[in-house]
Amino acid sequence: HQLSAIEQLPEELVHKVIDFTPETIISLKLVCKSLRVVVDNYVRQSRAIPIVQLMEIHHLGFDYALLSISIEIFIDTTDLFESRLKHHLGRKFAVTRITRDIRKQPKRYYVDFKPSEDMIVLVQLNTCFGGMHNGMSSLGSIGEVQLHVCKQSVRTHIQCLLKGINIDNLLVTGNIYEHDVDFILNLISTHKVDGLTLKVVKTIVPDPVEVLHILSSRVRTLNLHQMRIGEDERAMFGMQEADWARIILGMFTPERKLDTLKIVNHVNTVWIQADAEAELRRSLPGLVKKVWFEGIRHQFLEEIEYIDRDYSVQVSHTKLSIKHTSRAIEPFTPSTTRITFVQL
Amino acid sequence: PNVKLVTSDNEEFVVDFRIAKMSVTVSRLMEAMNMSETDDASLLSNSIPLPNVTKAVMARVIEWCEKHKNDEPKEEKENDKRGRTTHVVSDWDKEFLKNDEFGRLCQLMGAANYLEIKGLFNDISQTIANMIHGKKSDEIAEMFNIHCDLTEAEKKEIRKKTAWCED
Repeated sequence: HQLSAIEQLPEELVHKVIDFTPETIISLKLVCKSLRVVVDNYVRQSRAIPIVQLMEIHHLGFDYALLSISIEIFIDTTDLFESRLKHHLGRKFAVTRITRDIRKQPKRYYVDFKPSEDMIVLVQLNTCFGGMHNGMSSLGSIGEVQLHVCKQSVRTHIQCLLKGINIDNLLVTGNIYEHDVDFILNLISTHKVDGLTLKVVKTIVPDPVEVLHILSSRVRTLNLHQMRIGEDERAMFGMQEADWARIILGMFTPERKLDTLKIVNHVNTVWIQADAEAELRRSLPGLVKKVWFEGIRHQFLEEIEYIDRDYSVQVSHTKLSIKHTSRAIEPFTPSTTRITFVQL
Repeated sequence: PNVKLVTSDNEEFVVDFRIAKMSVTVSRLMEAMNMSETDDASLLSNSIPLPNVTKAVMARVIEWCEKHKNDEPKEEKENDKRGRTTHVVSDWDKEFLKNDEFGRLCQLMGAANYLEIKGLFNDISQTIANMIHGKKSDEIAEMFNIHCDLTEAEKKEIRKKTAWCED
């Protein structure tokens, strides 16, 4: 029989069409033999479309040998992801579990495996997520990743899993040591991270202010969230009684990338002093950069709200907010793409 | 200034320099042949051979380019929150592509790909994807006039392989 027009198209062009409608891969496979082959080849490849909305990575087992990954997939790419999983991981000895939870929408998948027994699993999972291990250069982004890890040795696995995937927002939770800062900076540059959320417990770095300034030069959005420490509740990002007005103004200097900053501390609610707040209210509205700043704290100050030099300033018992009027109603994290790195 | 483009069936099209530059492929060829906007002699003495595009398809490509020659550069593709690539096809483009029967649409897609005209290529890809979206295999086969050469046993095997192991 004569081939139809779509069957005569080069495979690469049909793949481009599938990028626009990946939810139809099973229907297309059932149309005819030639389309089945085209779809099978599509499944084997990494494509520049987002697949993963959320990813959590845990380390399990007696010696942390088991890597457990939970993945939430975009609605339209679930069939594609399942096909990729089966193609790449179906018969891997190192994979101890692949299950899914269809009660959740979008569907959630669980993959447990031992990287030490088969490192190639990391490479193949990366391909399932849209990474670049198969040699492609233009690739997609990942939704949200949560890494529950506690060993530096895991970092090689994380880098392998995320190779070639861009991330809008990185979230780090736990204690922050100097080597963590290096790792975070590496992730920011490698994955083109635009926003960073630090949910910190202890901060043990030689110069916390310098760390904040370096981070402010690398990301556009920073969310600094001080968690309960237990020992010294007055400490805030490794500092006690710091001059937060000076630090914050230093983070917003013109040469730095940062233009959005949120600081939250529900433990030490007086982390910023009234005179520092007054300084921020005086100096931030003078900045040419259209800054968005919010500090969550507790002060028994008179509640006021006013506009000063194109900046909206709000002072309440729980919050100090200084935002350029063009950004006054902007939500803190507009991006939906996020990576979460949780240290236990 | 005008540029001469010659199709596979030896038809010569004389197009505005701006239109010629909308194709990355033509731009590269002009550069390789030292053809520049300010050098009329180079444009008059040379023509760009396009062996992968026929006269009929080229006419459609030029019609699309004429409409879009003054467009501002824009991000051609965006990924939506459902996990697929989306591209907004304008009303004019929808009407333009509606006039082509499917075989011609595929030829136009091949030409847009060869000429590297991203906007036209994405318009066509999105249009074909919209035609497929939400359809069952037999509906797709009927729509595109595809003869299904899969046996029932083969279809059953595909369904079995694509089903989740717990199902």
